[in-house]
Amino acid sequence: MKTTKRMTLLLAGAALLPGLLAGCGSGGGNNSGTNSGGSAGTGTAQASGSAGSSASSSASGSASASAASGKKVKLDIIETGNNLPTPDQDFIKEALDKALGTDINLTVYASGDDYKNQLNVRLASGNFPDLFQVPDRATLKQFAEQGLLLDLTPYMEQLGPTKEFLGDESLKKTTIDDKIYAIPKAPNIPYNTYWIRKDWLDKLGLQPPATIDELKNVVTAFAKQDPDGNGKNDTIGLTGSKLSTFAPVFGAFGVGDPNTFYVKDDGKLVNSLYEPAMKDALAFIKGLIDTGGVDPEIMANTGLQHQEKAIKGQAGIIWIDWPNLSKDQFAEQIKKVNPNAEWIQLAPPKGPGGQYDGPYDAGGTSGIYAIPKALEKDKEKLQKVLDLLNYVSGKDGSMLVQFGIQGRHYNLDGDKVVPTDLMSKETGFTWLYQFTGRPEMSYLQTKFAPQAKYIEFANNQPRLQSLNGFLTNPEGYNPADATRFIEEEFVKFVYGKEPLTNYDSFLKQLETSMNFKTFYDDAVKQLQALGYGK
Amino acid sequence: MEMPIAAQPRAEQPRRLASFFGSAWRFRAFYVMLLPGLIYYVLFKYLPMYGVIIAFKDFNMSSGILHSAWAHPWNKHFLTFLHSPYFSQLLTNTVLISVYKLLFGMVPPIAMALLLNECRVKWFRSLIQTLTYMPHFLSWVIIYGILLALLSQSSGLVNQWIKDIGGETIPFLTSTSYFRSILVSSEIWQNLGWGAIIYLAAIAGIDPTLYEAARADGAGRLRMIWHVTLPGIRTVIIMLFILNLGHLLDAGFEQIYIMYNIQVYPVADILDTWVFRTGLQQLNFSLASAVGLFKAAIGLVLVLGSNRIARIWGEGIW
Repeated sequence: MKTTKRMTLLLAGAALLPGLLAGCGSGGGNNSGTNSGGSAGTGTAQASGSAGSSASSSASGSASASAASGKKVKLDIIETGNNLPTPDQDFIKEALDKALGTDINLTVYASGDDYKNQLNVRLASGNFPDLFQVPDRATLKQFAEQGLLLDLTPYMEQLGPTKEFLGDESLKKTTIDDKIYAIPKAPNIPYNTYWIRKDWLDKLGLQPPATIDELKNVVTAFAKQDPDGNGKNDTIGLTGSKLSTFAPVFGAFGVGDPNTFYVKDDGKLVNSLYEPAMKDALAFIKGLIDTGGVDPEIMANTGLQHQEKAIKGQAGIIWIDWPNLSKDQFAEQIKKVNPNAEWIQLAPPKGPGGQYDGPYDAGGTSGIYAIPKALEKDKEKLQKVLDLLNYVSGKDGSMLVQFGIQGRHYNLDGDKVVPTDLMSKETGFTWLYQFTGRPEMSYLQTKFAPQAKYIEFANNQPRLQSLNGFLTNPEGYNPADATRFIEEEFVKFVYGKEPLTNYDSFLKQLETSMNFKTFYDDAVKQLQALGYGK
Repeated sequence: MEMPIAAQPRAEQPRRLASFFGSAWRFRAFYVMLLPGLIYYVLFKYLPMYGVIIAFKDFNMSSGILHSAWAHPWNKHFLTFLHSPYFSQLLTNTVLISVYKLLFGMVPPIAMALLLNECRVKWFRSLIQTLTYMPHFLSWVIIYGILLALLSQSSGLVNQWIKDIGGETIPFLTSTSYFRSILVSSEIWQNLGWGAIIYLAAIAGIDPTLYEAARADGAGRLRMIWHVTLPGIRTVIIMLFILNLGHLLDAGFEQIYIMYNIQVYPVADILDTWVFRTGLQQLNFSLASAVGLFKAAIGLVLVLGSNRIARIWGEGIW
């Protein structure tokens, strides 16, 4: 009796132990062997059966040529994004497949962190997508060094329409050691501003704040004087996500968000951490938080939790992009909660260092798209990817991925695009296919006509030109640790957990234990090589 | 069942082998049943282990596991990890959170199982059982959503009550003083019912004649729990404890990754979250597997060590 029990236990133990061993090593073990599933495309995606003989005037000749051969080439594309419809409802996919003779399988990931992880695992396991988004320039460099990316320089001639669409200047952003490794999408215009509840201001008899001191007063009043009139002390003055909540406040002191590089008016290249005014900015933000009017959870607001607080009528000022507060669907939600709610944009408040609505990344792109080196061997597929890039850069393709199907989502009045009712209903996702970007201003003004004034307002605010998008990380510098350290210490400073007199020792510690000095020196060298700060 | 082999300590090699095959043949049905399990473990648990060699290499994605260059020095990635400015904090957090979960998480499921076992109203018992093990199937994202709705400082229900009665709001989710307690208690809540199942099964296996004998001796319910039920499941309790010890350095990546934010990093950042940020997101797969190997080694030592200690009391797994 006793022995049998022992035996069972032993067997159970023996069975569990290896699982435990392998489970512990999951960090390394998982990425060996085959990929973690999901690679097989959706089998039901064959929408149009006959080969595209009706291929409309496509951008490059070769596209229609191979379309006639009747074989569909499967293209696997991954990027970040959301709201992609299922393949059978995806009219952009259908139109592209028809024009190019492809079977495009686009997969999008809502969270950037998730995407990075997925992408890394796929690349490590050799299960390459045919076209994929690269998170940033630093990662681009890493990929290039690992020999994962196809050098596009020899293919530039074939990418004529794409090159023309992007401009030579823009391609510098994805050039490493004189080789073009990816296609940079043109950057978006800036979207973010402070938004403020006009009806709350009116109720309390206040003016929109023009200086940071007025801002402080309004934040306090919003939190303490019951602007929503429900008799409860349940409102927040200012909300946002992470430290960027205070971007215009940093701007009012003439400094960028923590750890941004930019060129001052006198032509000097600086990092915001080393600016003397940074300490003043932190002191002011600490005062702002001390009033009790700032959302205590800004550091925990991930995703769009701050937007929710604004829509619910809980917060009075928010740092956010115009789409997330003024798009039709959100405007509706706001009205549903409170028909009298009125959000207006706020110009950056003035301070001792001027007025800037935060930093805007000059080296940034709104996406970098690369082709894996492995595709070099599959000439036919590679050609299709190049065709695709050219097509969405050409006239027809660009119109398609911007506005949808002509006759259904828009009509042409001469050169002017006239949206139909279906455009706002159905074409919300087409940007996912804008692999090479879009003519930003005209696109937005057409597609978001009701929001046109917000778009223009956000675009016209003064910004600091941040240069971080040009940078790559040197060997021996761990950006994850350093970023954490900076953010952590900044939070301590503004929440009064550590006195500002320790700022200099913070810098020292950053330089020594986080190896920040290496990064800083290297960054300065990189930027000077690009002609900044001379 | 007799065990002839154990009786002869210095048997000759061939005879031993022969008798092994003999008994294997005799119990062939059992061995066949064992086979699928063995194949599974070899295929999915042992073979992938060759991948740990990337902990000693500079893994390059285009060269693959076998052709990447060896790291120089061989322990380069281990050193990077050991010399990380956050190493001691990470280790402390991992061990503390794990130990809290292990200690505080052990008694509630046992108590739950005892209570359920003593409950004689059948429908009530099944109702409670179903309700308590439901949270096990909720993902951490959903649980965090619930916690946020309850405990958020700006919009949570609890803080709203505190405000209504004129108190100061409490930063449950963003303060270093509350965060670990929230982690541990939400984990206990999630696994209470699920953990009780295995104990209930063990209780069901106790010989009912023991209860009869106890009753005949005049034992009440509490006495029977103490002298019959608890000793009856002692082996299971110790086995689960030992197995859980092996996971001491897994403090629960998913839960923490979803719930933490920069303000609580000093008490919440664990090995796995660090590996995720530094290893997986920054393409340092070699570093990630070095840490994985480090964890596995410590887990193995803990399991072997605790089993040895348990054996002193005559209760080891093997």
